[in-house]
Amino acid sequence: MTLLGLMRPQAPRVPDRYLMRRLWRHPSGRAGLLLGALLLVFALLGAVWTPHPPDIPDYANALKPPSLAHPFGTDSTGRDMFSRVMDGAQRSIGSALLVLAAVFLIGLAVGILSGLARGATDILLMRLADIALAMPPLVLGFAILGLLGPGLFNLLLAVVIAEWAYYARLARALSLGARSRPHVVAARMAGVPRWRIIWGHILPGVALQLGILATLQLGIMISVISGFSFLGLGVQPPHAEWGALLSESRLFFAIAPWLLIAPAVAIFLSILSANLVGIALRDIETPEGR
Amino acid sequence: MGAVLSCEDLTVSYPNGAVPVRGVSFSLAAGACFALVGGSGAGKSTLARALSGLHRRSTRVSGRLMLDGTDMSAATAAQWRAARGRRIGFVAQNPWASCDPLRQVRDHVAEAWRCHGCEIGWHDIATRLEGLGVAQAGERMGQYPHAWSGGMLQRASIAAAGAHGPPILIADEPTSALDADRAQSVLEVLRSLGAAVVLISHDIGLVLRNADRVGVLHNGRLVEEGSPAMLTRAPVHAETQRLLSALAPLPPRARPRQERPLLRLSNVSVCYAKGRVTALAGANLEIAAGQIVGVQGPSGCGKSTLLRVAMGIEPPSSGQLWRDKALGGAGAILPVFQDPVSSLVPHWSILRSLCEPLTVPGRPRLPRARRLARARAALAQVGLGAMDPHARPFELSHGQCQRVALARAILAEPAMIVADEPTSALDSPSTWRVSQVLRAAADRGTAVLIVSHDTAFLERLADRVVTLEAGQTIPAAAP
Repeated sequence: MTLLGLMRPQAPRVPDRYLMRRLWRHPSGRAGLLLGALLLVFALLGAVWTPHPPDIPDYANALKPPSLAHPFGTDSTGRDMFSRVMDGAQRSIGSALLVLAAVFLIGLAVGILSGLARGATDILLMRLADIALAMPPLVLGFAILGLLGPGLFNLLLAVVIAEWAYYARLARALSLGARSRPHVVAARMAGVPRWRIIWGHILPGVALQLGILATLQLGIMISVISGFSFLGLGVQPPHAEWGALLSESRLFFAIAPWLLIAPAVAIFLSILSANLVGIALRDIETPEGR
Repeated sequence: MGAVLSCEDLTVSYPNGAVPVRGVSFSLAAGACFALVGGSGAGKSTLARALSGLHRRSTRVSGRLMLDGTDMSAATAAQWRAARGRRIGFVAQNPWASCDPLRQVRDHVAEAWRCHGCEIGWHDIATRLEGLGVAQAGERMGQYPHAWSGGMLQRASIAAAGAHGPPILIADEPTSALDADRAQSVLEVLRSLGAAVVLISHDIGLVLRNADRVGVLHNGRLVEEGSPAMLTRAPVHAETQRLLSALAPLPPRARPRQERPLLRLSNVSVCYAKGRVTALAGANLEIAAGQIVGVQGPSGCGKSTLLRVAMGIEPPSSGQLWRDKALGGAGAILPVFQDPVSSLVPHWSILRSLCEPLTVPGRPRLPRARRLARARAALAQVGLGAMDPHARPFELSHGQCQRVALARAILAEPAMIVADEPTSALDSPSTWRVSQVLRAAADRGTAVLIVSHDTAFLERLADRVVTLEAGQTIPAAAP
């Protein structure tokens, strides 16, 4: 008892000031960050070096089962599957990041502009968004690819066109909420210029929320891009991409089922990593849960 | 008279190692009132829960606790359940929070009998409620809690707590949801049951008026105990002195040098939703430079709307709003909002939030070091000198955020400060400090318009108090 009485009370646990440190402390955040970093290194490494040349056929070694030299086997033209997955990582992960960066920036700009400008600008931008939202994103994507023809750049363009409106809508709603928050009203009354209020008070909060959505969507984006490539509308042969690899391997499922393992695991891990980070971000930013 | 409640060396420890109550000993004579006072986090509520056996199972309580002649130190949950209601009654802090909004008030009172397997008729409940000063109890007790005022609902809670005539009542901040007048009458009702009362409160003035003995809790220890007269005459411990400082009179008002009116609202009305909702219906208000005007009134009477009209962010639907040229420029009117946490930019350090009004165009450009020095000085003024100025708002308590928001308004030296409930999250010493700061600002010529439901705070601070009711100002009787 006396011992207990002498003990100093524990300092109350205060959340950390910096978002990255809080993310690191969150168990699923740390797991997601580690996995994501690993995948990123994997993709960067794949861009400069692979154990075997990823695109050069070696017909003597076609459809070999997993071995030490080819841990995930070889495909129908004898190319090493592991090297193909490594090489494809930059296209799968890179293009998902690129698409998200684009929809994030477009959505942020359009949403804040329309939330704060109101009036005719708001009406014009939001009707545009409504048109984009009225069509199912996959159908819209197919339509644009049908118009422009298959190819990685066209695919990215199609996904951006299909997705930006969600972000713009959310950014608009968030900035509408932010403009009447007490700290914004206080700044306005203090005479802080408009652009500084937008830049300092409104933009960071909206960007953070939108960033959480983007992280949560990273996994979906990878699967969407892989899906289009699977259908042959994205990355064109001989280049490797995870979805395209699945599509090629599918033909040999009966005789070489192991070919499906490496690209499927790669897609699974990248979606998992994105979701883990997204869950942690959501926990940190809205502790009461949504 | 023997002691009905006594505890010796009572210590409460949580599983995480925190020890919120350490070695508290006191005894309570039958029918007496023992008050426990202390700042937030002193361990008052934890002690109250330990005294009524409401602590969690994982919480360790050691020491001796005698309740009405029985040793409850090692009582089981079932023993506590039998004791609660019959030998010890509990009155909680917020009457609305402790009532289920979907059940009628009479059900809450009857529960006190039913849970001990007794029956009581509605008529008896009505009689008891009327005895505690609830008018038309027979009809009103069929209503739901939201239709009752805080003071009335707290009386119903007291009726339930005193159902079986327990010799001891534990009341944890029973008046914190009430304004000053109602607080006093609720306490009188509480005493009228004749039970010994352990009263927990942060309102030191109320405690000194009502308690027979007062104990001061600080960091979980009972640092001083004595009669109210003794404590006020010669407080020994620093914490007691700090708590008592809240009762010191404010320095005399330097006479306003000028009676130059700044803002005049005459017969102002505000309607929302195309005239279906009337928030203000003919409000009149005048405020001069260096004047402090308080606005009081029940919830929903239009206080906040009145402030928004005065700030100029809500145009009146009808009536006249006249503002002096001095209020025209940017930054001439600075607000202090009710919600303390969202008044500060969530991702900024409080220092940056504090300095922002100093950096607007049109103000003389101060060097960064000067700005920071002034911000620190303003923090010290509101009693936050020891705080890390780089902290983010979410690291602060509500009371601290509230004081930072006030410091921001003071720092920029506007022509008028408009404050909505600036002390709702503060304890009495901090409230006193804030009053001093506002008074000093007014002495420098700033007009201060304050809305508060803390009548005592307004009466002490303001030069004039305006009462709003149903959107109309009631002409104040000359003080």
